[in-house]
Amino acid sequence: MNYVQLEKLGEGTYATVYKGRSRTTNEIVALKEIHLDAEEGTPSTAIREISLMKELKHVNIVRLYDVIHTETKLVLIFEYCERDLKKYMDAHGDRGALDPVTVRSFMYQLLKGTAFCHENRVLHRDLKPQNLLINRKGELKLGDFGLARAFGVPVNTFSNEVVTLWYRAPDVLLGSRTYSTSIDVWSCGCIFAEMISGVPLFRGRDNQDQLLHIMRIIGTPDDRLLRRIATEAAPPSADGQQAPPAPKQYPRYPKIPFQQVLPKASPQALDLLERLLQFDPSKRISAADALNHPYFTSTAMAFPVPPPGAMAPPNYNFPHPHAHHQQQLSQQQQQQAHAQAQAHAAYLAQQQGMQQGVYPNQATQAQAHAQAQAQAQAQAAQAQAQAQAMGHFIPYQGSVPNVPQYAAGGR
Amino acid sequence: MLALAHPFQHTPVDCSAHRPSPSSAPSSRSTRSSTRKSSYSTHTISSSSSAAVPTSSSTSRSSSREGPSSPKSAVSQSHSSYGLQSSQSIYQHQPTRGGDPPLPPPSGNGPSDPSHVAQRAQSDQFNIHTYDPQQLLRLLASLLTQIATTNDNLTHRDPNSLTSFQPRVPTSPVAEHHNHPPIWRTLTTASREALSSTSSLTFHARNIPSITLEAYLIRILKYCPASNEVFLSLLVYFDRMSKLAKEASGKLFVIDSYNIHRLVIAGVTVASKFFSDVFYTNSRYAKVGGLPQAELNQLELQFLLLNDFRLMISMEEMQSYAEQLIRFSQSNADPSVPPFTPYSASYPHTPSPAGPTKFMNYMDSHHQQPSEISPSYSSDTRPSETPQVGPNRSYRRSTSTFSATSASDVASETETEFDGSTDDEPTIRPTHSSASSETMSLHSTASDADSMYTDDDDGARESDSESVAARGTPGRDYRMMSP
Repeated sequence: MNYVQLEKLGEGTYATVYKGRSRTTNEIVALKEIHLDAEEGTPSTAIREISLMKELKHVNIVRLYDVIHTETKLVLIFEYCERDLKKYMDAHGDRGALDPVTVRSFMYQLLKGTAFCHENRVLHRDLKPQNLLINRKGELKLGDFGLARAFGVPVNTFSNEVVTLWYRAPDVLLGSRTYSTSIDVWSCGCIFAEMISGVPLFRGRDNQDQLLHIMRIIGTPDDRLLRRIATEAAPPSADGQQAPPAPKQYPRYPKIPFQQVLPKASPQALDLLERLLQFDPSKRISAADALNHPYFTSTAMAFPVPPPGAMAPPNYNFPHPHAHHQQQLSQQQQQQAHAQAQAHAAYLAQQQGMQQGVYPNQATQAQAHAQAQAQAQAQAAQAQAQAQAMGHFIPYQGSVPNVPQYAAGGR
Repeated sequence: MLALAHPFQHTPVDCSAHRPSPSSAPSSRSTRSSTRKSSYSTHTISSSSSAAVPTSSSTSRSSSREGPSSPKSAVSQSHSSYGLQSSQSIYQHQPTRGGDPPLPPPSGNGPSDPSHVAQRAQSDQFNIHTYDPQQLLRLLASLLTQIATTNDNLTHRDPNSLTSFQPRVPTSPVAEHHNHPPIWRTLTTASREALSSTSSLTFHARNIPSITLEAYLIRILKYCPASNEVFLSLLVYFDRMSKLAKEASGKLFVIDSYNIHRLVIAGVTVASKFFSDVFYTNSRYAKVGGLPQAELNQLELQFLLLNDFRLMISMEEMQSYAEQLIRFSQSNADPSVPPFTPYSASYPHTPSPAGPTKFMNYMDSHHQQPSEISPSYSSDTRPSETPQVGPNRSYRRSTSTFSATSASDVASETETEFDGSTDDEPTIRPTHSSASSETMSLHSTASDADSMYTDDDDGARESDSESVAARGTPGRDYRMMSP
């Protein structure tokens, strides 16, 4: 094999992950060894992970570089990331809670990666902090696509045993098998709240308990909605164990304002969270729309939240640059700070221009542009200062020439 | 399209873009009639030069072209012809009103109601999801069997030109990057190795399996139920494999009667795991497919590697394949369409193996008169009515739903008896077990360890009646029975 196997990074149910180094380029990678089981053949998780990740090339999705086949195993060569979000929060958060700037950056990247999956008709179905990887540059990447599946082709064989319990959407908890992208959006909302507070938002023990945890905070939905979800869930539930929960009466919890739950969060953050954590899947915001939420695009964030731009949403819309290229970029960051600020400002202006229909209370594009530019320039200095203060954490910033692509919103 | 040696191949994407929509099809067909004629003239040459074809085949073909014929007379006509031709002759051909291409009957259970067929013919959109699975498998089996048969003849005629998958260069793939086309760089290392070293023999059975492809597919559907998408995806993957083999390594990937069963079971295993949250263990797929589990594991991996793990299929692509398959089945029932010949009009001396898209395109382009499929398109025809065709042709007769071999009938009868206990049990039992008398044997005369793969090399001795008799006889090595 063309890679030197280094220390073990972790062990999953069907694979062991090692750190590795390329013999030719010295690049550090993650080696995921998949054991080919005599009974199961190639695990379905591996089949899905390889075939889906091979086609999902995005800076916010862990890149699959190669697959190597040896006698008894398949080795997946992945882009290396230092740690997952869970460990990151433990190590760098204030009792797990991240600072608002970092939360905003991670949330943006999480939604960006999720939207890209959805655009390409892939459901991740297992978004949680442990499956979000963070590298040295502060890039967040979606990993572990073992539960993911393509949803373009309508196959009614969806399982509702997906997503780790705490991040599982209520419609799935109620037995829905017709879920779609909204299932991932719910998980994003849970992760958002967890980054702000440092603890998981809904910590149920089992399916029912999880539902109660959710209802205690976002309130018990009206019977009509519960019945609708139940009837959607009912037809394919031939497994008996998943009894249609329609007749079940839930305690009538009132909705608690998210502000009480997360007193530290800004109004805009709370508004976004509200839209992500809708009990009714059809009312949940899409990942793509969430990226245009004022939480990301507004230039006037309330005190005590540092203004936006401190951690510029990076230039993520172009194909993943080669690793060497990225290293160069990070070395050039210092000199590019000024240009970065302008690039970001242009982006913000564009975003605001594009999303006026959605949030009509926004300023006109021209105003927004001027405002954003001024603000972003001021923030660039802050960003550097903050990054240095954090020591380990250097915000990722792309190069200026890529800005037009970014603003165009293409892939 | 699989293993295309000639440059006119359409990629799946191309064909979806360029194909006429069903409503515009008639006009574009007529513009292509000149192609049809020239290919047709070459057809006579190819079929008469094909070694295994009875000499009277072209005669019977022309008689079946003369017009509507009753199933009875079609049967007698087909005595000396291909199963392929007999399948065409059994349909009654009636012009459809409005010129709309008809859809095949929605259900294969019992004679179809003609008015129902007519109703279905009104809708242009083919709904993959609600289409009758058994019917879909019949169409699929018909297509794949014809492809395999066509390619068999090709290989027999000129064994040297198509010894597929022989590595061009003996050196290791890693050592000679510069020799490879650009697509090579995009492949995973595992796939490069597979493409450099794999011979088509990976999927090649020692003998042609005695079970018809149709019975085989129905069996898979019965014991490892999967959605229509899973089965349709086989066509997409076969096309991709052949395209990749050709583009990346310049090799031909040829579907033939020796490998089609194994390609199907490996493909179903892979597609089920990819598309569905509900799938079975490989040990079950192996039992249902009638091959050793270790071998299925191997084939599954090869299937993945030869596709370079490209398993995603867009809705549009899936729909396009489904509609092509439907159009193919309509053309196939049309007596005016000459059988596919690997000698294309433009390259009369270059035989090129057929693949799904190529084959379907061919049939569609030659299908001028929409015809209605007769009520005789049913599955309850008894073996006695099965057209008797020449020896060593039994696998070819699965090209016709109607003429499914007695093997499949025996199989389905036995399976029905076992319906109650099908759920999770092994599919192969030793003959000596108590259930052996009700065992469904997919194995006729041979006793090699490949279970369903019979010793059919010369094949002449295995006439229909013999194999029926053999199936009733206990004492074979491997038997498949309903789980």
